[in-house]
This record gives sequence, structure tokens and C-alpha cells, in this order.
Amino acid sequence: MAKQVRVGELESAVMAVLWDTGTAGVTAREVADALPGPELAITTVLTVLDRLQGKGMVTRVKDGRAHRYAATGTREEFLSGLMSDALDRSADRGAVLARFVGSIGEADSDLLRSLLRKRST
Amino acid sequence: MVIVVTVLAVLAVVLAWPVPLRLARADWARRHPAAGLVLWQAVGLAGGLALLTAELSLAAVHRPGSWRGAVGSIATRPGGLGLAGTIGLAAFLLTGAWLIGVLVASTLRVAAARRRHRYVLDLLAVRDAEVPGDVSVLTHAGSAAYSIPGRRSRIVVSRGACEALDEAQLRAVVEHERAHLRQHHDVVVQPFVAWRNSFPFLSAAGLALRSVEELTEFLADDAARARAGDRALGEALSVMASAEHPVDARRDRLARPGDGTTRTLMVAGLLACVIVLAPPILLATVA
Repeated sequence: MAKQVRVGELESAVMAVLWDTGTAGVTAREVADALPGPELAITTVLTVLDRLQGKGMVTRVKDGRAHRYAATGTREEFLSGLMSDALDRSADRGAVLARFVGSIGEADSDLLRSLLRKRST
Repeated sequence: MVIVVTVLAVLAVVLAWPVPLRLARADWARRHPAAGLVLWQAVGLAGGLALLTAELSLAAVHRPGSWRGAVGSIATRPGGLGLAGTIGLAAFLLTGAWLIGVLVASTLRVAAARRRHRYVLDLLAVRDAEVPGDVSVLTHAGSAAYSIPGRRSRIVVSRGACEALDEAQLRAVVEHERAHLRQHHDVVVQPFVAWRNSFPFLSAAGLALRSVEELTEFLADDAARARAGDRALGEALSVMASAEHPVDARRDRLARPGDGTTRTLMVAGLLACVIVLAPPILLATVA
């Protein structure tokens, strides 16, 4: 299990940029500029954004002649989603993940509940 | 043939209700989780087999000859089964399709949920020099430790859990998760998820699922004890326990010394074979 195929490092890096820039959205050019390391071709960034959009992580809004991209939720929302998956007690969840034990804590549970309510309305 | 139908139907009922009830309460299964799991698999498989063969026998109830000949004749001449035979055939086809359909559907659903979770996890997880290299860390203050089974498995620990546990305790937690993955507990549990989804009205199915899940926890605990020590595991359980996730049963087990499992495992294995093979042997000899 030493060698695992991870989600492309690029996808992680692009999500990090989108999460750090907030909900207003950024253009592919701005993503390319914000990424650490050597400058990437815009087509590469667009490909990654496209894949993230396909996975429901990113939304795209037309803005003049370009598109602006934004994450579909904050980093905290996605983290809370993973945590509630991990700690959900329903039996099917137990089949999806094998957990040790754990709790999110009261404050976080409240936050989660309000987030879930927001999403379902 | 009427006797065969009756015996198989009684067997199916016994395996669907009183046997799971006893097995879920069995104290020896808690001490020997592997033996308990072997027996659970056999009970589940034999219950399904008994139900399907009972229905198939009912379908052939008016056909003369041996069981195999009578049942085989339905495939070549499906007409003229009579009322009881028609009911039996319909029940057999419906139950078979339902069991297979639910198993496939729930397996696909679980696989999709795992894939999705792993995808988002990989976008968010960070590496940490303080945890083993195969562990992903979630920067969340809550405390959680879990694993995603499957070909591209993951072991995940939240930042909150990392901070609450010392090095030895964290090692016990990680060893527990590694055991889940290594021993493919997801595969052991999956048929019981399907069973529960097939017969949600059958409380024994829910009971079986909970019991099987608990036994896999015990097995993973035993692996963690062997590698990280009783004390580290016991402390880790206390640190991670919560109202929603009580660990009393698992802590109680730690207080007791482990006893030799080979003999119990052998007996359970033999018993399992008998239960699974009972319907076919019955048909081959009686009919």
C-alpha cells in the first residue's frame, strides 16, 4: 500500500487557490498566476477546472468574454462533510467507512446541522 | 416433496430468526470474533439457500421423480405446475431477483460513496511528519479516525484526534484501522448490509448487521492489542469514546485475557460447513 495513486496534485493545488480566494470566483488566468511553481499553460488549468467541475467541486459563471470559477463550498464545509460521513452512525455508513470511534463535539455538531439544513432547503 | 418443502421452509425460518438472535447474544462470539464471523456468514448463506430451495421445491411439488429430476423438468416444461407450483416458482423467481438486485445495488451505492469520499478527502488531506506515512490528516478540530476500504484504501485521522492521542495511543488507533483494511472487513460486512436492505422489516437482519460490525471491531482491536499493547488501545478507546459512540463492550474485552482461538475457530468452521451444506445434502439424500 506504499504506492497509492493520489488525486492529481494539480487538482489539490487548484482547489486550494479557489478556497483561499473565496466565493467571488477567479478566472483561469488568475488561478494560473496564483499557483505556486512554474507558470502553467492556461489550457492545463482549464482542463483541471473542467474535471473539478465534473466532480461537483467547482462552479463556472460567465463573466464577459471569460469564465469565473468558484468552489461549490468553503474548505470548512467540505471538511465538516467528511467528518459527518466518518461519524454517521447509520449502518450503511458503517459499510462505506470503517471507523475507530470519535465525535465531532457539540459546537461542530450544531454547525453541521445548520449547514445541512441550509443545503437541503 | 411436501416433506422437503416443509423441512426447508422450517430451516429458513429458524435461520432467519431464532439462530441470529442466539448468535447475536453469544458470549463466546465476543471472545472469538473470527469464529463468530465465520458462523454468521454460514447462517446468512444457508438461510438464503434454504429459502430459495424451499420455493423451488414448492414449484415442483406436483412433479414426480427425484428432486433434481422434478426441479429440472420445470426448466424444460414450465407449464402445468398447478396453483401451489406456480406460487412456488413465482416466489423463487421474485426472491432470487430481489436478493441479487439488492446486493448489486447496495454494493454499487457503497462503492460510489467511498469513491466520492476518497476524492474529496484527497483534495483536503494533508501529510504530517508526526503520523505514519500511510495516514491522511484532516485539519478539523473534531476527533475522528477511520479508513476507506477498497483497492485504493485510505487511513484518516483528524487533527483533533492527533492532538488528543499520544504516540502509542495513535499507533493503536492506526493499527486498528490497518487491521480493518488488511482483513477486508468491508467484504465481511457487505452481505449483511444487503440482507438488511433486502428485508428491512426483519429485525434479525438489523441485529445480524450490528453484531457482525461489532465483531469486526473486536477483531481489529485484537490486532491493535497485539501490535500496540492493551494499555495503549484501552487509553485510545477512552480518549475517543463519546455518547454516540460508546466503547464499553470493547473496553470490557480488554480487561479479559485473550484465550486460545484455534479450537473455537475449528468448531465454528465445522458447524458453518454443516449449516451451509444442510439443504443440498438433504435434497440429495431425501429426494
